[in-house]
Amino acid sequence: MTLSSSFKTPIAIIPVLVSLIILGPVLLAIWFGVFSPSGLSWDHILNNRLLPYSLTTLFMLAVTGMLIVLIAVPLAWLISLFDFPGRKIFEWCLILPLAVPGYVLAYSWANLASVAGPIQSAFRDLTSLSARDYWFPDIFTPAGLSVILALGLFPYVYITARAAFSNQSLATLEAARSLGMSGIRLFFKVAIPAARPAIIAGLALALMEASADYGAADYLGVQTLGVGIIRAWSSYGEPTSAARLALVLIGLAFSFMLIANLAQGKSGVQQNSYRWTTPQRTQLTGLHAGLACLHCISIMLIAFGIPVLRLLWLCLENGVPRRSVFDPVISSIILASAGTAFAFICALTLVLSNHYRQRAPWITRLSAAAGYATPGAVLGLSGLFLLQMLGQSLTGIIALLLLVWIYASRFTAAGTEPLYASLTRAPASLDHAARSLRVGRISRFYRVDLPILSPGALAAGLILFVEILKELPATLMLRPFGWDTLAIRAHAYASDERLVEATLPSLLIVIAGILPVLLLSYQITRSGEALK
Amino acid sequence: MTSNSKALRVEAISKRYGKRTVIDSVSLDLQPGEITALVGPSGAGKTTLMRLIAGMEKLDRGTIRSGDTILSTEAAHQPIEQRNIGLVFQDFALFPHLSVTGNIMFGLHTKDRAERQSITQDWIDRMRLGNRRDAFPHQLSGGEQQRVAIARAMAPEPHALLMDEPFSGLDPELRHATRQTALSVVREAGIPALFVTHDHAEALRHADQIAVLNAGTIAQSGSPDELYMKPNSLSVATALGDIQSVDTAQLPDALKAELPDVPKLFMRPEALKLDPNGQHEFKVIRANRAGTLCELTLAAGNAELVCGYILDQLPPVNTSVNVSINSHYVFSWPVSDL
Repeated sequence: MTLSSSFKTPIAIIPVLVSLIILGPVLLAIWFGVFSPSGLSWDHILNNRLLPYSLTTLFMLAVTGMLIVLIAVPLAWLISLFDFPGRKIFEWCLILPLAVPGYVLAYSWANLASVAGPIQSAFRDLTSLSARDYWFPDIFTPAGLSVILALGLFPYVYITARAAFSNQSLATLEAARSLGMSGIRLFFKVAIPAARPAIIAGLALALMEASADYGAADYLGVQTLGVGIIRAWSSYGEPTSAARLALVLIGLAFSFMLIANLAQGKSGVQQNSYRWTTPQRTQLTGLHAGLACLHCISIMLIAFGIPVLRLLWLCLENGVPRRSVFDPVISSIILASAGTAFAFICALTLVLSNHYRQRAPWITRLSAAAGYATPGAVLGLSGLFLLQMLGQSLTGIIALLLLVWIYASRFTAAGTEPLYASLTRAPASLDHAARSLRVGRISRFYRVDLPILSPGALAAGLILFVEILKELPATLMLRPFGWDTLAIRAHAYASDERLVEATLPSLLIVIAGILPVLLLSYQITRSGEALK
Repeated sequence: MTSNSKALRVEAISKRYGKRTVIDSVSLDLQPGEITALVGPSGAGKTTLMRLIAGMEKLDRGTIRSGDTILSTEAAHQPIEQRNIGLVFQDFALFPHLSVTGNIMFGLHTKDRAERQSITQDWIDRMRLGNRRDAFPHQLSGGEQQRVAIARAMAPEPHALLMDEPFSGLDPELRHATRQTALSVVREAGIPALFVTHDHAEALRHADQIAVLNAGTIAQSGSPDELYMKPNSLSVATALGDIQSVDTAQLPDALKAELPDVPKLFMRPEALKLDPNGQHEFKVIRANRAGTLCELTLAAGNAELVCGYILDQLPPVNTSVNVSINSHYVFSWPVSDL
């Protein structure tokens, strides 16, 4: 007779170790922020900079949030409940702005809206006014930054709101109609309140991303906390002051993460794509159809078409030397591949451990979210501290390894999402079924888990690769000399007023970014249309 | 398949979750070739008991053995993958990435290639899945998925088969045929089989043995006939069919005289018989067809009783009918057992 005692194996430790790897840089940043002795510049920052940084950040977040809701919610309502020419195309291409990092949008729109740019030139040509005779909105302001970030981040809310509207039981809307409610009132009294948790969840994630922004704010000269952190490090040379400043930003980002999670729990929309029923859409005709179509096209053009085409135009018109991006492309591919591989293994470990253990340690559920919520600039600081502690300079392989670790800490969460999504196909009974057929742990991994995870694994890899490719602040702080990535090169050229040279690396990032966005929208649309 | 003909014995097992005892000293004997139905109200511990036998949970006390092999004791727990017990899940749990053939073949990894293929082919034929062999689970109907799940569990010749509400997900018209196929396969294999159900007709019709679980203990086990005709408690009687409680004080005196002298009685619908020579006169309150039987609500004294008959014609409402009592279907239990 074969008897095996309790199955507590060392394997159970691995997910906890992975969680600690992910949490390490976050905890380190907090620890340094709280405990390290304050540097010389801290008094100056505390007295003169902290309040402006914080107020600017809060103002920027408030305006960005408002703009995102104004853009995304009506759009989602239009796409979910009405039919008009081009709806099917808009449905997925409205997610495309996610492919453009905020800083790239900022470069392009700053150029478009500048005094010498095409918009103002055309305006002057038409009106024969001179540049001093009229007022034109200035993009190099907190409000300008908000517009840019809202254009890049509104798809977060568009996706969740659309899911909520499509998922809202048709019966609820029909019940409201039968009670005499229609049009605008139906929208505000029934649809919006029911979709509110989903909208809040999407918005909180978008604002978390906005608070982590460094590239766009820096380029537009807006003094947000993210910019302040990097300034404290680069101008004052005092990472400890930066770490104190980072505490404020960590608090902010964690609050958003918490809100997103709480709201997501209430929305009950996320996981189950099977209940996704498409409501009968109202057919729009004539003027209404035209307006709906125009609305979608305008948003697409402003958030994606015009800025990307402008960069393309600048790039082609001025003939950017292609040799100049060879090295950054190689560096980007090496760093992004290494980061993807590491983050993917972390994500896979966490997903499997949470899927197959009823009592997964809390740390495995918390860690990825905490890493994701922590801005790149803050994680970059942790990397610098570690480098200091190890007595290493910014030149060697150690810095590269640390950077890869930081990537994993920041982006593992992005990799877990698609993996969890593919596991929804696999109820826990599947593992029991395999075990009852006398298949051991190792072979269950490659005979059951891997095949079921493989579609999600592709998406996870792609998303991780592009997220890391786009990453700016942590890379800026930790990359060794000679390891400029595309994002770094774009940022450096743009900051040096050499926008034309920044176009090619920017465009390459956008092109790479379109791939996972297309995959994402394909999956969303497919799950939307699956199962009546 | 006589080599697998081992009894599965559950001996006084208990399971606690925290302070709550979910399974309390349960014993059950599953004989080779016999099908046992596990019934009981929801929350009685049916699924937990099944999970304990399957090895998905560890027990706190008692022993589970298959033949001479000890599967579980409080000290030792043979992992699920070493038990060789076939499982059929309520949601079927087919592998979504494998075809019908792949699913059935999944547990045959210890056999060589030729044997694997011939066993799989055999099950595909027996389960009439020949034209669906390359289909994937999401392309199959509920009945087909169920047949694949049974074939997958049976192909490796398990020592026992456990099924958790295996037929509840199927349409009523499919359920009967699928159940027939499944259970005949199990009977042929000559292994002990246990299925959880909340459908008492299903349990009565198909099981050789029924065990009624109530609040974590076996209230009664035995043959379907024994349990239906001689339930030892209200919970057992309720688990196996309709039953109504009657306040004896409300009944007319003539009727009372024929019945046990207790304050509360329990009657199955069969207890009252329409009988032209019957001694008792009842008024018809309601009369409906309910499938094979007609359901009549009859009143006498202050009591209203529901009864079932096979009738060609429903008696008109408010008329009187003569009735006799069939005391086989009248039960009384000590108050402490209610």
